Amino acid sequence: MLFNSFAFAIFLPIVFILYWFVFNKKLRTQNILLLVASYFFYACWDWRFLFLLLFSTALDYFSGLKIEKAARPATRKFWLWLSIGINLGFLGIFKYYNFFAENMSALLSQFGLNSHPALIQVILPVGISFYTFHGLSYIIDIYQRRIDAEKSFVDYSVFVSFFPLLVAGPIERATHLLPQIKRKRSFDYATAVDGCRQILWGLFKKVVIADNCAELANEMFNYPGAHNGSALWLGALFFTFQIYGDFSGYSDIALGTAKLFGIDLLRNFAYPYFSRDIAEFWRRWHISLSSWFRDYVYIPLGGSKVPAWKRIRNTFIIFLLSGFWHGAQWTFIAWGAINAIYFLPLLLTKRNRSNIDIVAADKALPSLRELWSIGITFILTMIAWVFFRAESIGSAFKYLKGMFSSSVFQKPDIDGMGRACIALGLIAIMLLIEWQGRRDPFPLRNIRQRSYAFQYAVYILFILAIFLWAGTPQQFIYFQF
Amino acid sequence: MKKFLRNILWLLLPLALLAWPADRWLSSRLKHSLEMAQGEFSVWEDIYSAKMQNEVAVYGSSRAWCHYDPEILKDSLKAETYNLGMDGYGFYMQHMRHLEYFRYNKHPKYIILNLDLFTFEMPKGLYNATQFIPYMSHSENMRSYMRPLQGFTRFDYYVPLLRYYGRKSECISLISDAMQGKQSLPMRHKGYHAHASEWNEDFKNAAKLMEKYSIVIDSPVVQLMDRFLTDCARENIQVVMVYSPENIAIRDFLRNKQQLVDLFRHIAQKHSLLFLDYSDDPLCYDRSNFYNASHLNARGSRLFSQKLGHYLKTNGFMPKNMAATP
Repeated sequence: MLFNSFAFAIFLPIVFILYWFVFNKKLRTQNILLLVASYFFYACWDWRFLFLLLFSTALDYFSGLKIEKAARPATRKFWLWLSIGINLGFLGIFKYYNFFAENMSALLSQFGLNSHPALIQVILPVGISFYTFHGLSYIIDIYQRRIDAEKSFVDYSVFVSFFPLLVAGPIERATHLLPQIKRKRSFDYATAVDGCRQILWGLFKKVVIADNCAELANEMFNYPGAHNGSALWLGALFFTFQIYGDFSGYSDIALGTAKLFGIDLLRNFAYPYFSRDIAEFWRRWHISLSSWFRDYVYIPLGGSKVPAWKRIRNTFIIFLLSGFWHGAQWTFIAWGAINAIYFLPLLLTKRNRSNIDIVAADKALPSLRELWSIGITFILTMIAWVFFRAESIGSAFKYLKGMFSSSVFQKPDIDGMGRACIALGLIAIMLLIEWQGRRDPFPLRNIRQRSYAFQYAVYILFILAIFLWAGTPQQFIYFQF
Repeated sequence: MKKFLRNILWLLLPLALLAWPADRWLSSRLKHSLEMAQGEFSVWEDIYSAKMQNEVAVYGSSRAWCHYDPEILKDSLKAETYNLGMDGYGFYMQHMRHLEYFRYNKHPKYIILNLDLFTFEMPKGLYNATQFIPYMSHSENMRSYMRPLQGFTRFDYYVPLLRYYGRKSECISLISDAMQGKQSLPMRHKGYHAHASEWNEDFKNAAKLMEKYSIVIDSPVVQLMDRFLTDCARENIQVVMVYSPENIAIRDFLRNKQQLVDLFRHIAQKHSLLFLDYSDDPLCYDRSNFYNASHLNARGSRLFSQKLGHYLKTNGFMPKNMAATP
């Protein structure tokens, strides 16, 4: 069940009405409803993987209780590593086994040893990377005594499986979400309206921006040899906005949906393409994943408070892990490595936190210097996305070779230039709206200060744009992770 | 809460109420559009108006609708002819059109079944899906044939306006045509569309990108054709299987064409039908007859229709020997 499907448009109001009108007397029944709805939502993808989700949930729930109860450090450690091992084991089998088997085989063949590893033909359970990371953060937090183990299995299951975040995040923390699940929630008009606005904005980004850009990006990435340099630059640009519209759009719909149930999820995007350097970009892009790696990998490794070579090592580790988290392909690892290379100079010169405020916060337009920094950061990011999108490292280099060829000065040879111009226009509209609303968590939020007539007109306009300008429906990219 | 629901209702109710008349209006405009969806609406409207009286019907894909000139065939065969060729589809969707045609119209005496490389390939998604929009909510055949294919959700068949989701170009041009009072010109004549264009770069471009093509033969589609031919025999409808000309340039890119042709021959023999294979006809060697590797242009189509008409006039629709190379 996609967020941008008619099925979800039926599912959501039903759950909403049951939640606030039928099960509103008791918190427990509300949570049971959320859990049933979440499992139904997940089962719509593939009911067989529901058992995996249930097993993972039960494992972390019981491990958490055992860690808390255990008096001996060794016992605590045992339950921690059991949970981590099994969680990562599932992730490894479903997501990474074939990658390691194939690469090991290729490596052995370099030494004249031919092996034919058995590969598994299994589809990746949707959302496995997300709910595994939910569970891991919960277990680690209990082990480090940051939180108490959750006693209610239902409440813990809602934390792992809450349907808005179940399949593509944001990656929540028990410290943030569990207290909300345990607290009596009452309906708040302003929050619910805000949620609807955020859903509308998310749908616009996904359906209008991402899906339209996807058609054009696919054309260029599928046949890079058939296009000139300028068309390939456009292809990279379209993918840059496809992935942003797709993932941040999904996150906005997730956050907006959660608000309808009185739950506030972690913000996942903060206008990343207005970043002035790569460090700022990573504070604004997929925030819940970046902060997860920061808190559970980077800081335990010593973070930035270690000698320079260790800082370099730690930076590479988290960026490579981040790339690898996205998928078992060398392209994702290369994407992570490139971002690490971008990031290191800032870290080593201690300029990685020089842009932590909102760009041009008290001005209407950025200064030339800010504009330059934003432009350079954007182009670097766009080049890195080529690796993310390409089928293989070889294809990525072939694509980049085309981008930096002399044909870059020719007119783009795109089939249907009109479509490309419309997509560029839509991107420009989105950027303008985002620039205008960059001080708010999402740009449509700031229209609440305007008249009802204005708000109504904006909503109708967005609904019509979503209806008419929807591109060919594409799967949300992050579902594959 | 009440305020929230009331405001949501105020926002969505007018849109929901407008959806039904908007759907009706768009569908009615779309049905009468002669240019959109490759002119398929004129064929669908002829089918659903139940006025088709032709004795000869041509079935097939785009290769049918631009290869068989009904007027030339009519002159040769002295029988009214209609071209029901369906752009972009193999026999699976052609059969859906056949069922709709038979449901509403007098059945023909003869069917010319044009064959091609994609005849037995089950489509994965809907091509030129716009052509189905005005009819899909009330045609049971369309629903059952289209449901396994990607293109529409199950809600699109029942919820007003939903099937127009994302069809900006269609909606905008229908609205702008209506505002300008523009009447479109007919693109098809009795289902036929002559392509006046010369040989283009389609094939060269495709050849650059594509590996050799393996023709797909999906057995459910083969079985469907078998049932269709049995049904036709039961109704005494004489079917002729024709592999119309394709440019020789395509041969280098096909892996298993002989297997396909053998299957066509086998089916023709099984049902005692005439199978005319024009894939090595002299027309195939002259690029001036084509606008791309598998489609004849207006000139080629005229020559081919004359040739076929002459053959059928002289030899009839029944096989003299089981398979023939005219």
